[in-house]
Amino acid sequence: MSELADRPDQPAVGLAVSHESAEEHVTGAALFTQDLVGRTHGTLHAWPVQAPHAHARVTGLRTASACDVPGVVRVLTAADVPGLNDAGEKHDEPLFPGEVMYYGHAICWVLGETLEAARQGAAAVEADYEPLPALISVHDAITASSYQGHQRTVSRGDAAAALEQAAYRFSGELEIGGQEHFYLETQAALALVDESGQIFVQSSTQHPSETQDIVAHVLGLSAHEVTVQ
Amino acid sequence: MAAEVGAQVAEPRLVVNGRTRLLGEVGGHVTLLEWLRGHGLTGCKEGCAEGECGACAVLVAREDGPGDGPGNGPGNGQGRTRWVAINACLVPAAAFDQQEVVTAEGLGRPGRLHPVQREMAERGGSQCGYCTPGFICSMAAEYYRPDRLSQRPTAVGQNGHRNDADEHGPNGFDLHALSGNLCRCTGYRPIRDAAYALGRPEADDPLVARLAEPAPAPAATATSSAQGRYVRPAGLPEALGLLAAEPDARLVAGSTDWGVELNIRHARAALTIGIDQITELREFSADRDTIDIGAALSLSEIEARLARRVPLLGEMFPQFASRLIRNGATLGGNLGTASPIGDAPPALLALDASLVLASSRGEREVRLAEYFTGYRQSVRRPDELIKTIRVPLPVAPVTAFHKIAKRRFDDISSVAVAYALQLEDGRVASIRIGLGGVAATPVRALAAEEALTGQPWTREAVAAAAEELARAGTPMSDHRASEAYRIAMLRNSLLKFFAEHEEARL
Repeated sequence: MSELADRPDQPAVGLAVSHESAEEHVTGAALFTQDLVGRTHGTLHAWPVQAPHAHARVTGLRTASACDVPGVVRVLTAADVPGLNDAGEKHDEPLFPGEVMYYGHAICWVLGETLEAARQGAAAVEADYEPLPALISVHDAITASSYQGHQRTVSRGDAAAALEQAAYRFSGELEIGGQEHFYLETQAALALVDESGQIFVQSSTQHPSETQDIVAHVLGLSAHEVTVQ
Repeated sequence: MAAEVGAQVAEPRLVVNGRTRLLGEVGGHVTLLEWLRGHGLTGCKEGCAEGECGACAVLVAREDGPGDGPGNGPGNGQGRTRWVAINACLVPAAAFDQQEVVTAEGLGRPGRLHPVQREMAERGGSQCGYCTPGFICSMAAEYYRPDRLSQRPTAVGQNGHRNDADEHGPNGFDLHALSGNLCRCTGYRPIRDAAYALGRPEADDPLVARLAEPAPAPAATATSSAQGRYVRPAGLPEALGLLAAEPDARLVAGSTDWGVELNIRHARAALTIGIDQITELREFSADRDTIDIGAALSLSEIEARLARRVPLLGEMFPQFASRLIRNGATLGGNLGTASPIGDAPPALLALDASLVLASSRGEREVRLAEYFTGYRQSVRRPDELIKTIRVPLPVAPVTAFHKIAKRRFDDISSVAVAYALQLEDGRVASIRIGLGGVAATPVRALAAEEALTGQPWTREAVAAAAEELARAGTPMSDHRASEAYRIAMLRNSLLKFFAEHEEARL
């Protein structure tokens, strides 16, 4: 053993250090976005109207019956967007879509004084759809030559010739259940309009600067008018 | 109904973290989690809203019943209390009228940590912290389990295989206490380190002192909201009367199935009847011929009261969801929903159990084999409830429960197979095989049973019967498993059962 491996008298490395928020975590005192709702007077809750098709065109949307549900404040649709109707940064993800791109895609949102009222309001919204062809498996997509993005090829040497000369050749298919990592905290965001008309958003996101940009362009504001925390 | 909201009924209230709070008119649809968070106790979290993640776990004061089952310990049933962890997201808040609840906030606070909180904080048991308060409550329930410190892990089992005891810490901590808590980022090792480092509760710990007193008595409750009423009847006759008057009423005990309907499918019932505290549904008795199990006893309570007398059920319980769920879930509920993928039906079919169905018109006994009639349907009439599950004795000497699922614990089965076998002189004297997940109802594998009965207990005879078992039911492909996989699992299950019990022929 070298001297370097010996432990010094007053070591800084190798000491147990608690997580800076550990005491708040273990006592339930730490506040997550969803926990702020009850501390914010007059919070409205939003519930999505979700399309029951994998791919469809929205041909009609009638929101009047939702507004009759007690506690429903209003229904937000594409007509309410003062800026750009885009929930992403690539101009291909409308916040209120006219074309449904996946089962459960939110086509509009109902605001209610309680979550229950918003949910009931969403159930009362009437929507018409024209179902469109959908590719919902990898096999369907390959058959239709429908690929996402660039088809990458990684090659070195003459693989075809090497395979041709190989003593054994095997072929087969493998299916794996790929899955995004998901964290346990439920997705939540709380938005306030402050005393100077600026927007303050608290969000359970890992990308606050992208959220700031999206909120600003949807609302037709400059980024400096939106704070995301 | 005016009669049920009579003047004697006190205003609903409960004790949370030592403080009495009015419950308010919550009706049947506000969950305990929603209620606690709405009252500023945001330590308990909603993660999945279906009893799988445990972020919502809280402690409740329950009667310390008799029994010495694993993970439960010897309650003496002499008016003592036990701290039990449950999923607050599934249960109606109204069910906690006059009850006592403790949340992570009630155990300690920053600067004054509870021992469980201190170990978790010091040993790196939290990363994002969202699941942590739920882990704390599950861990605290196990920390206070009266016989924990007297349970020592035994050595590694036969053939060097890990056995159940390996999942106990040197401090007797049963790791299964945490089987209903999921963590997505911290990692389980530091959490286990914290659990295994826990010592003995201090004598002046108020939650220890509480154990020596009786648990809160059940209260007759009636509360209503715009979306429906919740009524906890005073006794069985009142419950049956209510049910006769309103057969569409939703019967709720542990609410581990109904809570999912409420949260995920947004089901609403005009009347919810709480039957979990009805004395007649919480009885347990055993004589030479039968064991009678009250339909509203929780699975944890049954496990303790059976005390390994029915090994097949003893093998099933640890595989049934999680400790958090088993602390609420009942056999009455598992059979009442008549789901084809419940864990208890295959085991109870193999045991040839019967059900006592009660209504205001009287009682009748129905064999479980004749109970299920279709997908989530049974012979139970709308005005009947399941009162008792009756298991005939003696139980067959060779039994097994095979649950094939994606996770070892806290999961729903793709296929479940239960066996009860009696051998005589190396031949199969009788065998009953209960199946789940292969048809619209739980079923008996009658063709495979017939193929084995009278046959020698040999690999050849079993292999032939395994082909019959592979043809049982009408397995389908869904998100849990494919038809081909289910068929393969059926076949392999019988071969595995033989391999595990080949020596039984001697």
